[in-house]
Amino acid sequence: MKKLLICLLLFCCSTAAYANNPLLTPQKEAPKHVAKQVQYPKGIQQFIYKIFDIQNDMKSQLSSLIRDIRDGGSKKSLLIILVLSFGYGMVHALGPGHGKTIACSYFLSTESRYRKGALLGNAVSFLHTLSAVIVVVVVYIILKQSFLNTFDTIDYWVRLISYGIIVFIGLFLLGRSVRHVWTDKRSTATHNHHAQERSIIPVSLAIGMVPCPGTTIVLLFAMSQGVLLLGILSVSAMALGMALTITMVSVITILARNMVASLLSQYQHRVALIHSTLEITGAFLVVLVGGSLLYTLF
Amino acid sequence: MKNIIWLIMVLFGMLPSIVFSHPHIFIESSVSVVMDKDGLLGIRTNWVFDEMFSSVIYEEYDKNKDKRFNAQETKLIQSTAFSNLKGYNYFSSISIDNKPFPVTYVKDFSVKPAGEKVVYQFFIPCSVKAIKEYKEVRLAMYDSTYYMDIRFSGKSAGVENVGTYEVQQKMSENPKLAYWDGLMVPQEIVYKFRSKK
Repeated sequence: MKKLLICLLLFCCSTAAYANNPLLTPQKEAPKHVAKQVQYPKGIQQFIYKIFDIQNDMKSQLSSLIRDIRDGGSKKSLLIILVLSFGYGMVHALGPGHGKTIACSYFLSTESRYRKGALLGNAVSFLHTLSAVIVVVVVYIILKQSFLNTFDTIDYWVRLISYGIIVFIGLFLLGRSVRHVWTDKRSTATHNHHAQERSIIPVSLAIGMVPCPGTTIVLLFAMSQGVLLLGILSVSAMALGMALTITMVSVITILARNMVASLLSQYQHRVALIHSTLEITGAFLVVLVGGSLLYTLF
Repeated sequence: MKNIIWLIMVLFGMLPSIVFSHPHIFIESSVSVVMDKDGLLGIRTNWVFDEMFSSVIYEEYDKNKDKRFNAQETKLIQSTAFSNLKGYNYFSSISIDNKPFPVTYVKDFSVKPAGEKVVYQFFIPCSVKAIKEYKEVRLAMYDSTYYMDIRFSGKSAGVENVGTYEVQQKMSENPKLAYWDGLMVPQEIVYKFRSKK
C-alpha cells in the first residue's frame, strides 16, 4: 500500500525538465538517462498508457470531423466535435505535468477551503486555453509570422515570467509561514478566507499563463483547414472538459482531506507543529520547484 | 502518522491541474535494419506524425501548397524542425553488445506526405561487422521529455538485404530505459545477427 502511495505521489509530481517542443528547441547536450527509482505497479502503467491511447484516438477522430465540417458536414458533426473535444479535455487533464507539483506544494502550504481547489483548477484550465488562443491569434493573424518558431520564443518568455512569479509566491508563503511560527499565532489565528481565496489568483495566473501546446495544435489545425472559429469552439469545450476533471478530483481530494483532518484531531497537542511543518515544507517546495523550472530555461 | 502524511501529499498532488500535460504530439515509428556485405549498415527510420501536428508542418513549410515537400522546403524543415533533435540523440537509444552507441548524426533526411499525415524519413548509420557469433543491437525510440509519444508500429522491424545473414529480432519493453520518473517504459527492438558463412 505504502509503495503504491509513493508511486502515485511520484506520478502526480512528475517533473520532466523540459516542456518545449524538442523539434524546435536546440539542446546543448543529450539529456542524461536517470535510472528510475520506483517500479510502478503494472496496473498504473497500463492505465496511463490507456489514457494516451484514448487521447491519440480522440485527436485523430477530431481531425477527421473538423475536416468533415470544412467540407460542408452536418450540424451533427459539430455536436460530435464539441462532445469529443470535451472528452479530449477530460482525458488530457489526467496526464502528468508540472502544475501538479506546484499545486501540491501550494496546498501543503496553505489551509484551503473546498472551493479554493476547484477555483484553482478551473481558473488554470481556462487561462491555459485562453493564453493559447491569444498567442495563436496574435502570431498568426496579427503578426503573420511563422508560427512554430515564434511560438517557441513567446513560450520561453511566458515561462520565464510564470516561473518567476511561482518563485515569488513561494518566497511570500515561506515568509508568511516563518512569521506564523515566530509569532506563534497559529493557535489563535482567525483565518480570513476571503483574503485566502483572493490569494489563489496569482497562483492560477502563474500556472495558467503558459499557453497549452495541446490547445495550440488543435487551433493551428483548425486554422489550416480554414475553420478557426470551429477551432475556438473546440478548445473552449476542451477547457470545460479539463476543468471538469480537475473539479472532480478536487472534490475527492477535499473529502479525503476532511477525513484526514478528523483523524489528526486525536493528535491535538501536535496539530500546531504538524501545520507549521506542512506550511514551511510546502512553501519551500514551491520555491524549489519554481527555481528548478526557472533553471531549465537557462 | 507517516502514512497519513503520505496520503495528504498524494491527494494534494492529484488535486491540481492540467498544466503542461503531455504528450502533445504522437509519432508512429517504423524501422528496418539495413545489411550490407560486411554486416549491419544502419537503421532506416520512418516517423509518421499525427494529423494535427502534420497540418502544422504543412501550414508552415509547404510554401507552394502542393501537399508535397520539395528540396528547398525539406531543407528548411531539416534546419528548423529536425536538426535540433541531435541534442536528443534523435530520440534513439542504441546499444551494441550492451555498449551504448550515441546517435550523433543521421543522413538521407526527407519529408514525405502520407495522405493528411507527414512522414520524416532518415537513416541512422550504425555499422557493425557480422561474424560467426551473434552480435546484438538494441534499439528504442522515445522522447524523455515526453512532449512526443513515440511508439513502434507493428510487432517487428523489416530487414533489408538479409543475404547470407541470420537475423533474429524481438520487441519488448525494457524497464531499464524507463523515463518520466519511471512511469513510461519504452519498447525496444533487439536484433541478433550473425554471418552464416
